[in-house]
Amino acid sequence: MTNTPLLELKNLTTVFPTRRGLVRAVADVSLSLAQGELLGIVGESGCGKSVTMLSILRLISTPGRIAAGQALFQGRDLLKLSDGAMRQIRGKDIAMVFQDPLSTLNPAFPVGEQIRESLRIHHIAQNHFAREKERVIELMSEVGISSPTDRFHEYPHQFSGGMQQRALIAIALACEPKILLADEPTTSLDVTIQAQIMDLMRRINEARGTAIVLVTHNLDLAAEFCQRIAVMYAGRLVEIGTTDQVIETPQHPYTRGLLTCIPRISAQRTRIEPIPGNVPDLANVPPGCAFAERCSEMQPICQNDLIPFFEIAPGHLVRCLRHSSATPD
Amino acid sequence: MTAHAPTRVARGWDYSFRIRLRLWWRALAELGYELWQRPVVLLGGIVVAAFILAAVFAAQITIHDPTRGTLLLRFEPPAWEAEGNWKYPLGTDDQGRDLLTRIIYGTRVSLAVGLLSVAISVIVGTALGAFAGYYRGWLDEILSRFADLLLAFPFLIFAIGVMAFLGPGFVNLVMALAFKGWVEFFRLVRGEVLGERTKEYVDGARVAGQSNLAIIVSEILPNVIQSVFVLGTLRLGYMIIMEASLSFLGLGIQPPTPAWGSMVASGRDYLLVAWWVSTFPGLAILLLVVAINIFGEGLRDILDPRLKIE
Amino acid sequence: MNPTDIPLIETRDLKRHFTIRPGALARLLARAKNIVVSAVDGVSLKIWQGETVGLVGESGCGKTTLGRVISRLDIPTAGEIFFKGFSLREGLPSGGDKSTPIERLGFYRVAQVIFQNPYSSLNPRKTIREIIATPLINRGLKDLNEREETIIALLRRVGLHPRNLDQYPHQFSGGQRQRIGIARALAMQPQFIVADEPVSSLDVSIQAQVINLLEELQDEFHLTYLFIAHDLSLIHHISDRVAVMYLGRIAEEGATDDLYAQPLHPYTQALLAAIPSLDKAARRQRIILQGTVPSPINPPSGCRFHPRCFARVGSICENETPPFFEVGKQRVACWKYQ
Repeated sequence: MTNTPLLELKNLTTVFPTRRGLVRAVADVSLSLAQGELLGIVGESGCGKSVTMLSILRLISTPGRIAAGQALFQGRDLLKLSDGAMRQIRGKDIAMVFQDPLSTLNPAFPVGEQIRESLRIHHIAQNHFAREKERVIELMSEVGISSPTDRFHEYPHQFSGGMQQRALIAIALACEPKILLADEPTTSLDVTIQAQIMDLMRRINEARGTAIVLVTHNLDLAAEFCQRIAVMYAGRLVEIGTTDQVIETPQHPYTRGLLTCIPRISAQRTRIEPIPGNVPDLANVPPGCAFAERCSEMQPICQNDLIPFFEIAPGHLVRCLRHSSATPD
Repeated sequence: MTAHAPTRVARGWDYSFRIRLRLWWRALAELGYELWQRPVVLLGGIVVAAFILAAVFAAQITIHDPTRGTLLLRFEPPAWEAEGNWKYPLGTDDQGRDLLTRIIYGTRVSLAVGLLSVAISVIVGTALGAFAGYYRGWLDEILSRFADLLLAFPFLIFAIGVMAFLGPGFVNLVMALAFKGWVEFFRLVRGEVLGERTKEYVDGARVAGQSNLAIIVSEILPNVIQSVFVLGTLRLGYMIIMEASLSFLGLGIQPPTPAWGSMVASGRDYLLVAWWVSTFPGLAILLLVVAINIFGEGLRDILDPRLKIE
Repeated sequence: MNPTDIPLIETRDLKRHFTIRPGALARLLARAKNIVVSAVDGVSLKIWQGETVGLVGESGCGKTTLGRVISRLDIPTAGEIFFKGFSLREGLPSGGDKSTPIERLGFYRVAQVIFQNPYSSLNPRKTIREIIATPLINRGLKDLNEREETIIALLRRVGLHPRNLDQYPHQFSGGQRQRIGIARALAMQPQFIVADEPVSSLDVSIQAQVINLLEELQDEFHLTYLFIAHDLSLIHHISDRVAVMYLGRIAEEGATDDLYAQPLHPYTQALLAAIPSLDKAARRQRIILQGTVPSPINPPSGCRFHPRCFARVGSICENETPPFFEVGKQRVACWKYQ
């Protein structure tokens, strides 16, 4: 790993004022992404993983706002850039793939045109139509869309879900970004198609060295794809480590809960252990550890103050007081 | 509630009725709060309420006879004019009747015709729309085509035709307006029911043993009734204009019963000598309809869950 | 016949075809014809008392339609459904007493449904009390106090507090709503429950709570489940027997452990290989199936899986529909096992 990370989030906090109070969707998230790295952000719906991605691209719509922190891309703070400079980075250096491909593609334009659009915006092929089209067809075949010359003129509804997601990946790759943010890219797809898309993303990572952030609720999927995994709960990161550290020696009770609460195919069937209770209301997150009231190892001290990260192994950070003997990060 | 409070067990019908009442009361309080947040809508509501009160207590708040006047006092100008008299605040008409008294009594006609025709439209349109949307098939096909046919006629021309055929009169007027008015509610309810019937809760009710009629009446309609209520308020203003138009043309309420439309018509010939005879009834129509529309639109904003942001 | 020889539910060559009729104008000008979508195309399935049958397949394979037809929310185009050997077309025997609720409720007196979406399967304008009271009233529980006690008992059984009785569905979380849906199904005292993706719209940490509840209830009330899901791990966990569906037909069927240990149909093999796994050795070793599920409007001839199949045996795959071959205790519709 290089010394300067490609992308570094420092204490990123994004808030949404609502009727019920201020929702801290992303609270104090610090995270780094190295060149060509595959990083997974895992958590349940509403844990802030998608908002983190949108915050990096400054796509938070009002009344939501990024309240604090930094997002350093190659040393430059994205949150301080002018809108014009941010537009240059968005799509060109950092691209995003969303969960629902059909609602992300514009139904009124041919898919090929929509891929060409991102080339045009960033002047990749000097706005030369023939050269752009050639590049689009190259991209389409690269992401596995068969007979791209014919399908250039087809509309999104003529594509299957998997093909739509491939088209979105082609749009994202058009400008050869350094980072691809993939927000639940396979959640709306079937398992066999999911395997195809994940395989495609892995090949892109290997061939181009694109760093990929995979946002998912599926720990197994992240474990298979990523080198490092960050687990999020109620807006905060609770555990970060390499995939082996997080999967094989999970240290946060929530990570362990996530691992034991989903059934797995194994020879002997064991009773799955649900995590009791519900996710806390983000407008009213309890003090201390947000997971405390669902935790079987909760102690009174857990609910007093914010729990810091403890580094229990090199690169393995956990927000849990059971490791308070380790040095706080 | 404390953690150890014993669970309340129902003691008969009145228990669930009390709960229902409490829930209604809570909903009403919430509506009141929302209205308080929107002063313009609230003002619209107050104006509508004032008109309703005026209509109900017309006999108590006026001192003149609405139908008999003194010819000697015809075309008295409004009180603030040079020759005005505070006995006749808005002046008198061509037969020497107090204009304000007639406008107040005219509210009765406008509101009665409007409310009755909307009520009949709502009942007929909702019932037919619910059945057509739920059962589809030939019933829906026939009713929808018939509704399309009715929609092809401009409302006023259609109403003139019906009134010419039936002859003037209060009942005929209400019938003529309702005969076309139900179509709007039919289309609204049919569309909403079409959307609701495919939702899983309808399957849930069927699996729970509900009959088709029970599904329509007690499962689907409660989800549709709010939009009907909102459309009803908005259509009320339109019906009042229709009534006034027909009365203006002499096809509606017949003199000497005071109706705003016929009052505007009777003052038309004297506009140059006595502008107030036509103007004040016209302003009354304007004020009531605008107030109803503002109130109706406000209700829609408050009640329509699609506009609510969680 | 011994009653245990009769399956609780049996479907014979069940079909459900949807016809899309173009409008009169399209018919006239564009010579548009009726389009037939064969969502379920000849499914024969037996479900025995007390077992859980998992029905698994990808979106568009017809598993939801099959579930709806079996729970009589939809009418089959062809084929028949039997409950304990009685054809549902003739109605269940009512014991001659026409006044019993069985006569009116028919199948729903013994079979219930747990729906996929807990947000739309509860009427937003009804309180929890009213929602759970409906099946009780309809099965003839007239006495108010008794009904109230039953509602409270049901609510407690699914893990909700009776103080929530007078709240509306939107005041509950997804997991709690699914519990309410389960209580409503239990209120009918059914023997058979069709659960269509009951946890797929819930958060992962909540899914396990609902699955465990369903398992407990099965033991307690001797329920038989038809459990429909796209999640193979979940199906493995909950089912005794599994049927894999592909484009309206069952591709393979067998006892869960056999089928997962030794998948026979190439489609089952590909499906199982596509599940992401925590196991390091299993990572990266997989069959990546090419292409997508074809449209059920013009399904491929012969074996419906043949355009995507990596183990074709010859032209027979393209031309003839494979029947079921018995391999061990499994049934598989693939010419490889002829």
